[in-house]
Amino acid sequence: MPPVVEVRDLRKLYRIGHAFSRDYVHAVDGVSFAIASGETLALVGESGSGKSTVARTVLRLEAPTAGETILDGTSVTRASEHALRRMRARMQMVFQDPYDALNPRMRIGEQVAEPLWLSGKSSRRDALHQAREFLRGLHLPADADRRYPHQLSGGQLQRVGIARALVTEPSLVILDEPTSALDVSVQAQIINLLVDLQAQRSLAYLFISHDLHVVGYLADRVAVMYLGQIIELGPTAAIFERPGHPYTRALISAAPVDHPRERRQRIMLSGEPTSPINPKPGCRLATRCPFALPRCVERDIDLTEVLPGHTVRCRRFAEEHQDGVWNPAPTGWKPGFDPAA
Amino acid sequence: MSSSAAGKGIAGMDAASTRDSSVLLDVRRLRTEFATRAEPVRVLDGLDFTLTNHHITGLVGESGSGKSVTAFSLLRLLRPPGNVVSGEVWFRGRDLMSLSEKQMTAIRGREIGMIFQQPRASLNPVFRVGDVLNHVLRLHRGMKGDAVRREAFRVFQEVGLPDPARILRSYPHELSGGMCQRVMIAQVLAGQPKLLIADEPTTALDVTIQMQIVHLLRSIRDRLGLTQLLITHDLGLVGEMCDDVLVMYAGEIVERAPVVDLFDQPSHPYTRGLLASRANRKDRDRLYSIPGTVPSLVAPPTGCRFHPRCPYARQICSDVAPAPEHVSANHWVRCHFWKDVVRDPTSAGRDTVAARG
Amino acid sequence: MATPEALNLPTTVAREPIINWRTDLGYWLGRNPVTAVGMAVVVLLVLMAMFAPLLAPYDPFATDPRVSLQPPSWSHPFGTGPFGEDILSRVMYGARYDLAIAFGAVGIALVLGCLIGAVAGFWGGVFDDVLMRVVELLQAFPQFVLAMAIAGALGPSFLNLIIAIAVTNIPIYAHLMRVRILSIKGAQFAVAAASSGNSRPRILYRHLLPNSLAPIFVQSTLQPGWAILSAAGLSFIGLGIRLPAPEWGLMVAAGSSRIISGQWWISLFPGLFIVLAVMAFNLIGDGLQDLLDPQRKST
Repeated sequence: MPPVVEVRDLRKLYRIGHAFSRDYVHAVDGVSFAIASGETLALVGESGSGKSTVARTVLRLEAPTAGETILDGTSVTRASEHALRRMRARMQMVFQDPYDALNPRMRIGEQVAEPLWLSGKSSRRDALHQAREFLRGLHLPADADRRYPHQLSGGQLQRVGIARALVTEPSLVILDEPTSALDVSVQAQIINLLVDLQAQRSLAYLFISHDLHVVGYLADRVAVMYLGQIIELGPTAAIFERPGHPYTRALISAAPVDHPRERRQRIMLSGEPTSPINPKPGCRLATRCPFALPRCVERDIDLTEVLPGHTVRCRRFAEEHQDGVWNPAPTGWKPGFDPAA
Repeated sequence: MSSSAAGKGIAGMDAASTRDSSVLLDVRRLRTEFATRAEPVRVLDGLDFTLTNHHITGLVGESGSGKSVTAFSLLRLLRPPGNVVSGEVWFRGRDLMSLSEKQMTAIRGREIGMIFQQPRASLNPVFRVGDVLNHVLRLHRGMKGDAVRREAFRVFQEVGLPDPARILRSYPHELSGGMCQRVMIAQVLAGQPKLLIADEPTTALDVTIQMQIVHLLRSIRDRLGLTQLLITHDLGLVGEMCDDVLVMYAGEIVERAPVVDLFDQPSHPYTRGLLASRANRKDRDRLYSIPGTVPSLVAPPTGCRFHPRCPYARQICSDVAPAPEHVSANHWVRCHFWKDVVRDPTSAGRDTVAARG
Repeated sequence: MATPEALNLPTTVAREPIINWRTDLGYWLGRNPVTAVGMAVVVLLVLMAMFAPLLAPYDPFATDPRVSLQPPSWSHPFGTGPFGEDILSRVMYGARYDLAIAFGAVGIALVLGCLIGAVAGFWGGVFDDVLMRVVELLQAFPQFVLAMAIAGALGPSFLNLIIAIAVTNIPIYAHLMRVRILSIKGAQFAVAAASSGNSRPRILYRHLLPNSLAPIFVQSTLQPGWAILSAAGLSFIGLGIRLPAPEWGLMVAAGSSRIISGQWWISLFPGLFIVLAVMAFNLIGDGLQDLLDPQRKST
């Protein structure tokens, strides 16, 4: 079965400084992935890793610098403005902060109806009716469609956000940290709702998050981003149990424990991410990586398949692993100084 | 603690508080209100708790539970329309609520330090971070000249800042979020306080940086024995770094327990619900979710404030506010039916560790 | 800092406070009696203008040489002018001219200024550069001098007076609107609107504009006072309306030469009404800003 969405070598560069500046922020630097119907791909990474830029460029809310998104066999990237607006019904997004993602001066019903009639799927009047019906199915107050956003709670508003994204029966839904702005006791309600809706409608989810517990719970596959690149992509169990890339190892290791008895020593990365401005050719983690060697700085490699469906972008891992197992000792090497000299 | 041992309420219930030396902070019947157009809103309704010396105590609650207001009330940093109406806060033999503003200023920073969620926003952008640190050392420690420089250097090393000499000369905007939080912690440590109040200190930081700060705060407790009050909404963080936990719901503390006890045997339905609703990779069953939403403090529910969302609620819960009851020596809970809660084997009471063997 | 969290209110930066005009306005007027006074004065002035034919004791254009230059008395409370015209009646009718100028000029400036600012802020680039340079050109002159130049070039008439004052008011609204649009066009709800399939113009008028107008309306309550002052000034120096129209500024001008000879009432009463109207509008504007930005008052 062909994937619902295929993203090929997506790039987004932002010029910084004056109009003729040669300095670019490489926000997204060659990202490729595909998601099948009914599948959840999680995109994890820290702030500045480019995961939100991926979301915006995949949906062409921002034009990518290069690369292409293909949705149900048609190119989103090459579509005309007019065609793109029609396509929007098939690719939707749920935003992080439900208070912020809804127009404060527009009735809920109208906002949920908008994608329906703007895409030409139904008349404006039918759209309002459908929106009301959809909202009713999400355990919202009966008159929710006539209310304004400030008259609902955060959890209710996120249901509205989900309704707006799903009312057009899209193929792809991008979930941009949909629970991180919500109260803890409400998060589970929203996660359950997302799981139910996916099962009913075979939705493809691109789930963007930094909460590894939720990622572990929801995702079928996980892509880990670091400074604009995917550095590891594989099945959820593999990523959590046998992470290959040193950054993935650190990230998984940094997830808070489930129980205080499980407190443990962790793989700690030193320092913080390097600048995404005009990155050098070598591995982008090399300056922080405890396992780095001089050759890591010289040249980077592409994502390399280490096991079926599990790809890693780490030279040492690709060269030294045996059946996906690699237990290196910290090298103590830091770029800029050579212990032998 | 030199206050009368006859203190009523919760303070007397904690085994720790009977031995004065082990209690650093003793909060009694703290009541904070916010003036509004109509009736004042009672945000904290007679808060009672103690902080054990050398422990990290977590104050967990959702937004609107009043956890940040608690911190601001303790330090008397609340500004109108907020106002502490009554209550006592005993700290090293003095009631902070009865001190003059001048005495209180001397305690803030010198004896009780505070760090916040947005580290960069809490640093003054026009000063070099070293200048502020030097000021703290001169003001609170009475240091002069070369001693100031050496001590500043030492404190920066202690919080794990690389290249202290360079960072001392930097402005906040030149530092990353994680480094700013380390600088904040350094400034607090420079005053050699007895208590550190940390209000969501890692929420704004990335996962890997978060864990660095957690380890730092943990190691500060281990090395210096600094008592800490960690205010957070994140149970993972609590499990990661706290010794004791206070669970707050709608302006009240509903459960207090040593951290392992809380995770092993949550006795308040709310605590149990929170623990059970956490997503987990190894258990992909449907998540338990607490029904309803956090109540508004403008019109809190009668009786037990959790009763409209509680699966165990009966008539008495909406009529009578439960008094705290002991589960074990250091573990108390405000619930009429906590024994049922503990015995209940259903998912809401799922023991996360036991379930996975 | 702790307030919104404690009361379980959402906090956002880009959003303006939601004001329920029905309930909030009454409460807030009760707490700001000065603004309530300003509002009452404006309402009275508007009523006076509307019902001038019923209220005025005389025809404002009627002359009566028998009673020329009489000081205030029971039959002519504000006295009479050199042709025996009743000053009180003229002041009442004058409210029609001055309020029409004030609301007309502000209305035109509001619409044009918001349009320019919205387009410049939303589309940016060349639009922004060209439009804002034009606006800055207008600002390069002192406001009153510019109004004089425009009124002089167009010729003295009621309509031209409104146009002259409107043009000089455009930059204020253009700048306010542009900044407001710039600050909210990146908000999540604007991105969400795009992902719902809204076209660019529709995002602007359906989603961004309704969320930008409140601060601009508040600003616009400060402007009529200034417009009345300008209108009076332009008429005073002969660039506005011509006699015998009962415009307040014109009446002040007409009577000014007679102050020395002791007939102070001809200028004083229309002058007082100018002051009254300007002050009333400013009180409202000031108070409304506090309503929109409660921080401004408390700090």
